[in-house]
Amino acid sequence: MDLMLAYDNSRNARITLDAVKEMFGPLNPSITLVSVIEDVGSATSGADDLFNEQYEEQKAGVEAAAAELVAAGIPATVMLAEGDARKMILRATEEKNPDVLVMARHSHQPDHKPLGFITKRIDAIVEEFDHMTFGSVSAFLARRVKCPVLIIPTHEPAA
Amino acid sequence: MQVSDLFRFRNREIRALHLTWIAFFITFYVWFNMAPLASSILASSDWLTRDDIRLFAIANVALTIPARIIVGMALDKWGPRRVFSVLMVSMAIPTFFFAFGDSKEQLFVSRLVLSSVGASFVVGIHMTALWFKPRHIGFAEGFYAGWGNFGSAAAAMTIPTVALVLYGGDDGWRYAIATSGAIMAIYGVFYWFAITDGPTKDTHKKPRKAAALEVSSFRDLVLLVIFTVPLVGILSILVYRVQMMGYIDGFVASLCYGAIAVVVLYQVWLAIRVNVPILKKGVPKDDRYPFSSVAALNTTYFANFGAELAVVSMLPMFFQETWGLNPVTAGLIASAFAFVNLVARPMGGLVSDRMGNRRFVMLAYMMGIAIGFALMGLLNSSWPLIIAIAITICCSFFVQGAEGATFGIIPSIKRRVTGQIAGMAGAYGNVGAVFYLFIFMFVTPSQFFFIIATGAAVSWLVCYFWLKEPQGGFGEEYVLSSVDQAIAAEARQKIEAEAELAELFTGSEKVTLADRGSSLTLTARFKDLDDLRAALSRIGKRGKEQPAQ
Repeated sequence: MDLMLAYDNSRNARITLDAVKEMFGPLNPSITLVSVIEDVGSATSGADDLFNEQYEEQKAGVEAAAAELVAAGIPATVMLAEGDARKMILRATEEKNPDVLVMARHSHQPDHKPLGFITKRIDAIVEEFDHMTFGSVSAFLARRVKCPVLIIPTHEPAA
Repeated sequence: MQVSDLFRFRNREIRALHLTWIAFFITFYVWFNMAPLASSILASSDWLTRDDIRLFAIANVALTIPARIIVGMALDKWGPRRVFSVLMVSMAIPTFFFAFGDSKEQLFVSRLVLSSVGASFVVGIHMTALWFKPRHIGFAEGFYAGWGNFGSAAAAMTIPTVALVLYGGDDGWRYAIATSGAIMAIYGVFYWFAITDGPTKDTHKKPRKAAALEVSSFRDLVLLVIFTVPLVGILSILVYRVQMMGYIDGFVASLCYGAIAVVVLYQVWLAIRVNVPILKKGVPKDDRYPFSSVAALNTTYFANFGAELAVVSMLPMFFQETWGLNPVTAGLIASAFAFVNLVARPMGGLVSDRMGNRRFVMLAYMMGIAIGFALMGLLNSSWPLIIAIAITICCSFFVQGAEGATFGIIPSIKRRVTGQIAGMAGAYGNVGAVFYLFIFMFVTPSQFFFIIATGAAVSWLVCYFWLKEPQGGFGEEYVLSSVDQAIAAEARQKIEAEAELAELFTGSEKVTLADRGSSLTLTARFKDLDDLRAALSRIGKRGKEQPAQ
């Protein structure tokens, strides 16, 4: 089966990668890792260098993930894109037409900070707002992607 | 980056962010310390007229455009820390001049000079960009801009109280303005010692030099030239107005016109000189970008930030006179317009990011502005004050959201020239402010609001036809266009050459390789003749050993 995995080299993406290996490994899938490097969103010329830095970092990360899959006996290819994460992943699914798209449920998980109580509240509100209003990447894709979507929860504390 | 990270004061970058937004906040506080006091100033001095105050309001935003250009160059040379400190300390001087000036000319000139303080925005954006990782930079810059811009609201809210209650008397406004200037100067000195240009010594490095924005076709070049002219050309209407009011005579005015014409022609010539060789060679397809999108964003910033600057300058007086309020209340109510900034501007960026269709968001916001200002145009004393305040706040929500949306699109047009695109659009905000405030001298507040509404509607039309939804792309060949790769290769070669040179000239004090126009200049400095001889003999020996090179 053809499986597409949205991978941005974050903690959540690694959780998803492990879940995919565990769940789909026995089915001998071939996996396409899609990684979208988002624009820096800065209004200065320095952003060019910053973007390249981010690009290299993410590229290295996704290639390492692909190598990990190959080492585990799962054929994997990497697809790099630049732009808006949701639109580019949507376009990737339209081009490749995978059997299933797997992604993390993005989360700004609050953790312990100075002024713990207040900051936890603020983060919780921001996160709630995140999910209530316009929808995160996964919500957007769940509504629009034409192939089946699997969204992996990422709320368990990082190992 | 999480919102709560902002409380991590021990992080150096968080501290830098806080120090920088406070600096920006103070400069905006000083920049807009006149509008809320306008009526007090009028009342305390019988040699001032309403027209003078309106002229000062234009002067207050006029020189920001040239100042941005100069500050931009200074940033490349000296880095944001020094530029910001010097700007804050030096701009305290015209603030004092304005505070204690006792003739029209003194007040006018000091406001004109003080308008340079508006360039502080660029400095802080640069500083923020030096401190934050790419993933966090959007949030950091949004936070910086949002809270810093709040300075104008803070001025409207607090400065009448300081002037009338704390100091009191006819000269209260003078002491209030002087105090804000003194605080700015003190903070400028503090800023110098409190911050560095980025986390490491070499974070601040010189960016690629570019004299003018690159474009992709001859049609775009024509558009660029057309859009370059008003940037400085707009100052001519200020000169016209100043001459009409008798501040300067015909001779001085023609000198000013001449100077403006020279600067405009120089900029146009730069645009042509930079672009014609590129266009003749042909721009590769993967490196093209639509300049018409930039043009459309120039008009949106003209119609939103320009309108904001203009409205902030006249709103306190409008409320005071229409509803017969006292200056403190009017200032407080008028500050609602700028106060919304805290939420509205980041919201604009957020909506643009989240909705997935930036063009649609931009169009919706511009439509909102047009409707909002049209409603404000209908306001008069027969309306309940509370409804007027509600309309003002709603309108402001759209105005500032549109600013956020404009800067939400800019980074995705063409990354290599983002700084220049942002600079041009930003400057158009000031062009808009000067233009609108010029118009304001001839019309009533209601007509003024209708004119701003029309401006927004025109900008909506331009966006409808010209603004293109930015697209992403797949694969490496899309990410870096061939021209980007050529530039990167050249930079790599330069670094290699520098390393080779450093090896050749070991023992010399300093070796630099610099671009001078179309050629390279190599500078090496030696302590004395012996060192130079040693270096020369090394080069000679190397040359003999490797005749092939």
